[in-house]
Amino acid sequence: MTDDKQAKSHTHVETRGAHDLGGFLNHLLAHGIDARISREEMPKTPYEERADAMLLLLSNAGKGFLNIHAMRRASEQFTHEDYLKLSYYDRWLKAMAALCIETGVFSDHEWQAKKQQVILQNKAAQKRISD
Amino acid sequence: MSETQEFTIGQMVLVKRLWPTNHHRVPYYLKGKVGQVATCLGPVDNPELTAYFNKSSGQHILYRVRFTHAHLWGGNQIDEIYADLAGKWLCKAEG
Repeated sequence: MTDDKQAKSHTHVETRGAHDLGGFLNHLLAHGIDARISREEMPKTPYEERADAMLLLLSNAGKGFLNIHAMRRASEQFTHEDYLKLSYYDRWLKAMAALCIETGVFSDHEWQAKKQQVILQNKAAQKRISD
Repeated sequence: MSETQEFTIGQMVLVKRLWPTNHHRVPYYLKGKVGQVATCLGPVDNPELTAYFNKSSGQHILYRVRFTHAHLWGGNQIDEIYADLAGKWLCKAEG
């Protein structure tokens, strides 16, 4: 039986989260996800190292604002589309932001305002380079 | 407070067919499957509660359960799959 036929015959498929697709290859392919596992060593990019450092500072080893179980739970609450399109560290960042808002480290309004500020700064910096 | 060990090494156990929407550490592909208790790993913090910052949580007993590849996925592969599962997710498999 194919994955899709199994999915249709299963009454509980709607509760299958994007984090829980083990053995469900056709679903990944349908979302355009490359399910192959790369055997190449992948060096961390600077933003990934920063994401890693931020998680450590926010976790029980640092400020204690979040824990790894809450991080997983926050990622599981993403839509399938978000979960599958985001990279590993992008999921972390999105989950960290969601949990910081949830626990009151900063408000959603502050988060949106900061994002807007960074976008404008980047645009200004790009303009300076191109001028 | 912690629950007590209810399964013994070598015992056949069935993974409960439950689909809660809250965070839980049981993959879809194991639900309703039968495995054998390989090791009792002892009490651990319950991630179903700590994921929501619930500090009133007790601990639960974690078991390492062995499943055969053929049982989970069909075919005749001889590989085995081990999963660490909480006692509350297991029940005694009918002989």
